Amino acid sequence: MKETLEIINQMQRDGIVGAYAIGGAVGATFHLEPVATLDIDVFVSFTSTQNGALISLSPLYDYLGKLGCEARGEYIVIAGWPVQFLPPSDALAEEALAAAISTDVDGVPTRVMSAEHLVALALQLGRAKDHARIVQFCETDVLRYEILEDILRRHKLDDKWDRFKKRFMMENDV
Amino acid sequence: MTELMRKIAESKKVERRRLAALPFSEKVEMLEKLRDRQISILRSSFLSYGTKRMNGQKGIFLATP
Repeated sequence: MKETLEIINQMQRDGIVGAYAIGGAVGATFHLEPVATLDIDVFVSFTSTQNGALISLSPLYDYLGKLGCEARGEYIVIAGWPVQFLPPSDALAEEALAAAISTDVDGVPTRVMSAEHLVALALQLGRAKDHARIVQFCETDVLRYEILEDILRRHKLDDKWDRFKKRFMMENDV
Repeated sequence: MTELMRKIAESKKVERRRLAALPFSEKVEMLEKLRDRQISILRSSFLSYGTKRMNGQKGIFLATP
């Protein structure tokens, strides 16, 4: 994964993408125990896109293609890891990208979404595996609930959060 | 929940917290090993799914040839 991140960092330095942040299971692994996954979800902003213009991933695919990375469906395989690049689709994803935490993997700098934003995005998606991950976050005691509830309120996810708590959490879990 | 089950659940929580507290680089290394094992299992059991996915159909997708 180190090599994958080095290539993504190089792509950023070359101006193909702006800021990026790792989400999904790899992002969750920053905060939790390692979460088994086959791919990496990378949220990216595009520096050159004008307001209102449609975002195209073509420059990114062209750049990576020249480095020998192979596109497969919605993924592009970078140094053995299928990577899915996701332009933020709404205000929550944009905020999650902006508020990402800087860290490193064996000295290679990278950015990972905060635990609270990962939970908010998982709640928004609402699949069974997203719910399971939220439970993991709650059980590991890594969440700052004031921050989480503020995010959920601002992005109108507080009703969903109440329903989630009633359905999945025991009274003393949250 | 019986007392035994409660103890088992609590010890799992403790182990999860210990793993969560490890440095990210160390966790990524563990994640890579998990992924290698997952791929080996998928290769032996569900190879046909990978082929389907690469052909644009739904199924399990294996990244490495």
